[in-house]
Amino acid sequence: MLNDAKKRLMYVSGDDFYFFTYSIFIILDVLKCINERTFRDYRKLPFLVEFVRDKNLIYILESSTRSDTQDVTDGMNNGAPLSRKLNNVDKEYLFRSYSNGIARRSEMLKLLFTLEKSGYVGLSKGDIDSMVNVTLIKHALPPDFLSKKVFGQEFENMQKLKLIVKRLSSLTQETMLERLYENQGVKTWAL
Amino acid sequence: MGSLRINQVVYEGDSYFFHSPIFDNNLILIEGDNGTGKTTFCNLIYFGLGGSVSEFRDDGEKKHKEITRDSNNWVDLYVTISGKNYQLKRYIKDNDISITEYVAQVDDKGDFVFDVSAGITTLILPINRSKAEVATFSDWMLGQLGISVVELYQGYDTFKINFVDLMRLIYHDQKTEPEYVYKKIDVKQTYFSDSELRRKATFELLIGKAFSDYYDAIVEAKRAEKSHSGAKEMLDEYKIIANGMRGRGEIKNKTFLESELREKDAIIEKLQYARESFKRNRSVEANVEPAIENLKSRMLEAEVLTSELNAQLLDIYDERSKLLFIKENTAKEITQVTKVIHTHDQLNLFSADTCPYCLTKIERTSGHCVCGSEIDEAKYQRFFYTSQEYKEIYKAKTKTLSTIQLAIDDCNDEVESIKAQIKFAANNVVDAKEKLHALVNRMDQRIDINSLNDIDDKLLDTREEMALLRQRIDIETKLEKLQLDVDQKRDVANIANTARQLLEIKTKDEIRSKVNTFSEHYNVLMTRALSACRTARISNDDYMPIINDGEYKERSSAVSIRLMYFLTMMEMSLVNSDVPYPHFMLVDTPETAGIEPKELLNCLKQISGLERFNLPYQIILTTGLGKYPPEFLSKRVMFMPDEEHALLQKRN
Repeated sequence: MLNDAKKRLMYVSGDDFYFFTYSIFIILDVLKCINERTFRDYRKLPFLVEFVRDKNLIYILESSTRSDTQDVTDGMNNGAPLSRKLNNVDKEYLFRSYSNGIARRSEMLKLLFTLEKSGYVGLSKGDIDSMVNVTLIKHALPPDFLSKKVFGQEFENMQKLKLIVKRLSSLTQETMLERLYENQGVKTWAL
Repeated sequence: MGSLRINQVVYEGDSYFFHSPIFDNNLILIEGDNGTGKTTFCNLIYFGLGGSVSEFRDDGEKKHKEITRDSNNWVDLYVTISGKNYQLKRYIKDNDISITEYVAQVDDKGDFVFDVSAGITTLILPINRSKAEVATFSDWMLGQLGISVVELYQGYDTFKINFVDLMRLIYHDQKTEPEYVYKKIDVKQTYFSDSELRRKATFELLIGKAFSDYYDAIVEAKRAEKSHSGAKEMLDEYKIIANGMRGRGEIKNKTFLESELREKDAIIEKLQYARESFKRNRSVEANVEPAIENLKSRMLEAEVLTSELNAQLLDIYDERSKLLFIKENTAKEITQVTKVIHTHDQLNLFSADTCPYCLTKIERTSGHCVCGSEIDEAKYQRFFYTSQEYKEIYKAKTKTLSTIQLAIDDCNDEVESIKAQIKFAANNVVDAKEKLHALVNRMDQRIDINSLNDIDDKLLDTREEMALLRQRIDIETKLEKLQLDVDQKRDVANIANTARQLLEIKTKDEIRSKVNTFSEHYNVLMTRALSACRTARISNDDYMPIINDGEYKERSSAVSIRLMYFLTMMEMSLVNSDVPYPHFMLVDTPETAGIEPKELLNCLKQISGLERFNLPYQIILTTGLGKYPPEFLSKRVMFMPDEEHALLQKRN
């Protein structure tokens, strides 16, 4: 009993592989990276997982990049979301998601290999050797698995993010990080 | 009555001197030719007795050159007044007379000498009256002669009868027109100097003892009347002032005013009591101040409590927001766990037999780790959970959530409680504030400045009224005093007037009898002296002579008429000791105004008739050479037949 309790206490929901699993599926599904279409560079996934999971991050991004400002019409940054000065709390919140993403990166490839072995995702080599692209083999999933009833919030989050940051599936990791974090004033470092 | 007698006449000067012999007879005859100094001799006597002699003055018309040009010159008269010997010394051109008593002694040669060195005090008196009201020589003289110094009123003027006034019927001088009888006055100072009233008074004073009393009574009545009218004037004046001060107020006497004053005094006392009561009320309310302090500290405490509670509330809000955050996260985790369970159930990707490093399924013997070590299966810690375990986690999380909810509920309760406390404290502050306000207001009401001011105003008004009343009482007191003064003075005036009236009747009777007596004596003397005179009397009105019932007016007889008039006075004073005439006559060279020598002699012979009374008297008579009855020769004490034997002898 004691051990059961200990194990329960040691459970960290954010580190759960099933959590990663369904999040990846939802990302790929929303970005239509199904079958032949691939998601460029799996390293972007741990960061996106954060956004899928937490709608607060979506709010922060939304408020930071609202297009009711002149910046967009000026056409600066080629339509990319412009940073607005965030308050420190929001900035801190955003930064924590960045650091979470970094922390999960090593687990991500391991998980993707397992999922590939299970036949749920397809992995392919990218432009360079180290780059791995990902695609969702949707029909392999149980038919009701990606139910909106179960993952309604996650789908909504991802849909919103997709609107906020364009071409998420094809962006390089650097560009994506720039748009998600640096433009909002969150410092990132070279990976 | 009093008497006057000249014993010696002395003139001393740097250039001239004259020493008369001692006059020890009733009749003193001085015979001299014209211009030898007969009139000068008389004038020396008159001057010595206080008269004004124009010849002795530098501004005189016919100055006597030897005397006015002489220096350090004076006249000494050795006189006997009513039995007392006096030396009267008067310097020429001076208006003071020194009076020194002297003693008559007989020297080695058997002659009389007058010694003034006996050391008896010398009196120096002025001749003229001054406003300083010091006694004059005349006053002294009249006092010695027993004649009152009477003050006469004429119109608004008053004057006193002087000795020189009496001298008008004593000094039979040469200068006066004899028809006027009375010697001409020396200097006419005022309109009244020679008035009939004055002349009559002179006459009356010289012949009647009662006249002095009567004139005194007149003076007294006049003075009392004057004093009365003065007091009345003052009263009237003051009444006008009092009316002015009284203003519109009705006339009230002192008694009423004083009772009014007492009423006001009582009002003042009441007002002061009321004022004190007010002040006492205020001191009772002194416990308001501690109450205020109390309320103030209560208010302060409540405010401090409120701010403390607010701080607490903020803390709890903070805690609650943290709890809500945790709750949110927990709820999120719970939903995530359900999704994980869903995924696990559907995909079943991981189990206890999944390699934590590569995530591949491994064949593991029970009781051993993936690495092969022996383990207690129950204690084997893995990264992967069974469905059962996930459900436990779910359950645990849910429980956590409810626990958090409990904490949040607690927080909410605490928030409510603190809010209630804050509200209570705030109410306390409001309450304390209201009470404080009420207390402060009440304090103002209690002190009631307006009422106090009203009382003070009333006090001031009453005091003013009292001051006014006191003023009026003072006025009334003064009025009463003045009225009393007037009343008293009126009484005095009435008494004096009655006395005067009584004396007037008495005096008029006496005058009538004295005038009758005078007329009888005069008639005898005149019929003897003047052959043409059948009857002679004096008028009752002005005491002037009426000869033959006024039909006889021969100017040549004027000297006789005048001389007999003087002589009648002398005779009366010898007959009746009540007559104040001082038994003294000075007659200067009567043979003027064309009198017949025979009649002159007849007149002079009448003087001899005085001897029959066997009483001392003195008549000093100067005549021209041989112009006197031969039997008078034995009375001749000085003989100045020519200028070599003139009166004034030049010093060598």
